[in-house]
Amino acid sequence: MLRLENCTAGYAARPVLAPTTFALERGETLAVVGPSGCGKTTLLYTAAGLISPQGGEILLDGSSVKRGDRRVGLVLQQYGLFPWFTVLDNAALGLRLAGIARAERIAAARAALAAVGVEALADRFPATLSGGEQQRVAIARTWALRPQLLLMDEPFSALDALTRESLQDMLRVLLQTRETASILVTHSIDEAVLLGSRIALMYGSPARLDFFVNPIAENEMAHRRTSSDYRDAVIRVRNLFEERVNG
Amino acid sequence: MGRAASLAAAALAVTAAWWLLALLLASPVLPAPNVVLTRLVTLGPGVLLRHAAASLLRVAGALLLAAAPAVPLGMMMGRLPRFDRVLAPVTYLLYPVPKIALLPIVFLLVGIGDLARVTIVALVLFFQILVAVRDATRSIPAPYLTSIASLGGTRLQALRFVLFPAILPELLTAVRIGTGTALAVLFFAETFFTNYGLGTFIVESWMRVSYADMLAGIVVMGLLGLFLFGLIDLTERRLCPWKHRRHR
Repeated sequence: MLRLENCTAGYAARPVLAPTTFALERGETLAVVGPSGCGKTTLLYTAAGLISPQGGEILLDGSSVKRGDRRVGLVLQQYGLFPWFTVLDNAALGLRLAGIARAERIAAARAALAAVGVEALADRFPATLSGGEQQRVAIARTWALRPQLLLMDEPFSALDALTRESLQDMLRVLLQTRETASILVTHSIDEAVLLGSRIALMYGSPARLDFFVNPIAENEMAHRRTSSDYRDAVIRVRNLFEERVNG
Repeated sequence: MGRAASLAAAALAVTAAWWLLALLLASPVLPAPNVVLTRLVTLGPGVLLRHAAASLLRVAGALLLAAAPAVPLGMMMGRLPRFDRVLAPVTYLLYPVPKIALLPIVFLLVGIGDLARVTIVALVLFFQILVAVRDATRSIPAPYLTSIASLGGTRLQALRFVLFPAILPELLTAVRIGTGTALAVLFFAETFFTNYGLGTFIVESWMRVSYADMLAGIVVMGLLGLFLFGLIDLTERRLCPWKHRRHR
């Protein structure tokens, strides 16, 4: 599905991402963990087609990802919603830009809002919502476009702990309803273990990625935060991360 | 307190203060409100409305003449640093020049007709709108543009759905601030080469030593300002509803 072939990225003469090759299949979630400033967002924006790769290529189902590619959805950490649109109009915006007829896009936007549990807020403006509600709407807006690849840039890092857990659970359920491939960039190892089927540790300059299968990926019961398997997995990934980052 | 009630209270307070001052001064230069009101009635609506309409059309024309180039130029300055580096020094040089001082030049260049009066007011509004739009465009959070691009928006769609709505409140604030200055400048510009406009009426009344007429003209000018500010507020409430619903 998604394939990065010897992809390098950066800004002008400053390479941020060392040559990277990996593939992501339908239904798979790659959680990318790395220290602040290591280039996680650059990786994500490159995969979204917003930054052209300096070398190599990015293919989605065999064709190159270009800027504004509607097969790819992006959820940002904050400021994702436009304050001048209601929740419903925000959720329908991607479809409006794609030229979808009003009735059809409103129905799709309402369905996406319902899928993330905020349909009742449809007529409100973003400034009247809590941070968690805003992020649900941001996910709904991308979800309404039925992207083949969902990219998320630290989507829950600005939220309080309880809201974050609630949204993590919501996202897990949401991703299971469609065969969407996703990349989740996060600085939280706990979140990476909870949501990723694979985990990539990103480190160095230019950054490289080391991939691991999530130890609890196939163990549904272990996704309970209180389970010992989950806590063991977090400790194992944390140790791997410290080994890589500290050399 | 409702909008109408606060307006009535403000009108009452101004009238009371005016009345008190008129009683204290006891001078024909400042007739009491009842004298001016009587004069307004005897003049009839036709006379002052014709002068007010002339002034209103000039302000509206000036606003259009100023905004048409100032909005796109301000947006370009806000988005394109190179463009801003060229235009900002020119703007900073010309912005502080009192535009009213340019009135003789404008009369000589575009003639003594209405275009000159509209142009001088437009010059006042132009720089205020230009700088406000430039700064508003600069302060648009980058993630808004990332969001619209990631949703597949074209540059034109980004302009329509992000840039323009984002600057709209600041644009209306600039128009609101500019309107006060515009009316003041228009008053002066209307004292030359015209038979219509509140400025003409007020100055002509002064020359005739008809202070009641003069005050009546000033009252109507105040009402014209109130009408314009009300119109801008209404426009903002219609076009920027998100600014007025902030409570959870």
